[in-house]
Amino acid sequence: MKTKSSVLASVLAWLAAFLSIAPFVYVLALSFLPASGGVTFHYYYQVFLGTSQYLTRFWKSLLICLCVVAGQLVVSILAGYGFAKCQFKGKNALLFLLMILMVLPLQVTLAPNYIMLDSLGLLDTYAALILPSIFAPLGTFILTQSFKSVSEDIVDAAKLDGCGLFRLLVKVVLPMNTSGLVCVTLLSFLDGWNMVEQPIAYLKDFMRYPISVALAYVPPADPTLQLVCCVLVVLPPLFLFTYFNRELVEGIVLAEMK
Amino acid sequence: MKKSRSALQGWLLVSPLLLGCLLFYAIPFVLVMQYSLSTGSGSALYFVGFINYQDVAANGMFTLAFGNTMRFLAAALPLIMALAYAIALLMQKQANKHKLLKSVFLFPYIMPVVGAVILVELLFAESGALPAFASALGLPLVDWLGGPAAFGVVLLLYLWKNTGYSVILLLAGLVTIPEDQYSAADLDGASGWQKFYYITTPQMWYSVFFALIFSLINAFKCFREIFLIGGTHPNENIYMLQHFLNNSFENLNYAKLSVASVLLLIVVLAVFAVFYGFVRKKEAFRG
Repeated sequence: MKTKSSVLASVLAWLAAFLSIAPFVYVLALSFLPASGGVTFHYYYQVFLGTSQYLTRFWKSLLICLCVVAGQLVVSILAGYGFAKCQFKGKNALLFLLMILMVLPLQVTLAPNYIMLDSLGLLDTYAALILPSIFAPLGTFILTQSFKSVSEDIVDAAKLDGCGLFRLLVKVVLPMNTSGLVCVTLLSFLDGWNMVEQPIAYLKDFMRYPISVALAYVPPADPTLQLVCCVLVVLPPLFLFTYFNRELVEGIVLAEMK
Repeated sequence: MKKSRSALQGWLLVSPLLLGCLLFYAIPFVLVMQYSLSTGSGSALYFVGFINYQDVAANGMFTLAFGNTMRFLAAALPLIMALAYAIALLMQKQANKHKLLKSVFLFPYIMPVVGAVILVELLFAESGALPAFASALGLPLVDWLGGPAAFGVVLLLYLWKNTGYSVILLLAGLVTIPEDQYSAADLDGASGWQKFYYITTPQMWYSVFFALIFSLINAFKCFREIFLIGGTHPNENIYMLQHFLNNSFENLNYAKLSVASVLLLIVVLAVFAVFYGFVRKKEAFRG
């Protein structure tokens, strides 16, 4: 039974979907169409094979991101399990404080972070970008909520069989929570990949700037070259999103703590 | 005995996170508070009370940046909530049919900063697609990025990028509302508006709260795009706190930076407290 309202809903939904995707297609299409007219792969050749400057920056940025993601995963897996499955005094107060910390924007934490990095002598190093991001609280929230769904019986049974904490995590808990883990990976990857404020504030050396902010801060002179670089930067998140969008949709919701 | 072991394990497990947060957030915040009340630097800090605050409050650039940031939040948050809620309600009955759509809505969220910035320039810059289209239609030219319209452009960018995220949070709440409550209301002849007001709304406070919180978080993330679109000194309609902070970083004015951080902290905490207090009251009433 198709009512008027469900047709309307479908039309609007498809319209929204079109608006979501069209800009990506637009950028991709324009990247083959230089100002001089015609269709060309010349700029792709230039970015991917002709010079190494874009690719070098790309791989370096990816490496920074992987460090952020790995650190964030370790920290939030441990903390998430602690919050979800261990009973200790002050747990709820801590979670509340973390929620407040999660809400605080970079604009608030930038100056404090700078002061700390300065006194640790880490300014102008990659560690300045990586370390503070590792301790972002969002991952902990998602995993705490996700780990709560692991039943107590399974945890107890594993413990009875003499399973230590490390093995319990790796063999039992993590395989049961892939959605949450993938979601944390993706979200922290996106945050790392899109760093803007931190490099500008913490790094003096432009050579160290990650690719996303470097391209936007000092764009290549040729507009088509700029677009090809943009396509290059879209690739990693696009790849992750294509494979893991289901987990992302499921995981985002986990941050709704009650 | 067993209880205390679990407690110890809990503390051990959360300790890396806590140490990191202490090192990079808690301790530096104490320092920032101190800097905001002092003059000089390093070991030569002198307590000066609220003079820095008076200076910053009298600084025209700061009030402009602060005002614009608040104006942006005041416009963006209600807009995104209304839009996301409307889309979520439309999809409520067809959540399963449109599983793919849900991920499609998240698609703009993955657009990297540089992509978003280029896109805005492609569409709205003087030589961009929109002015070309408008002049083809014979419409008057609007300076989209140089004048008051820039505020609307960045608002649009924010909505495009982040509405999907909020839709997903809201949909998660909507699908937990039992279908038979709506059927029962239908039997009683309730109108769509009544169903929304008496069934949906009271069960959605938590989801609305979290959608609002994440919209706020995402709004602050959007300032990086605004920052890059405008350059270090954009037109005064989109001169945000991010610009002010960045310019203070450039000449390393610790006092200014600290005061701006503390003031922004107070505002964010106040907004959070209002939202949180409200949702707690609503939920306590319900449960």
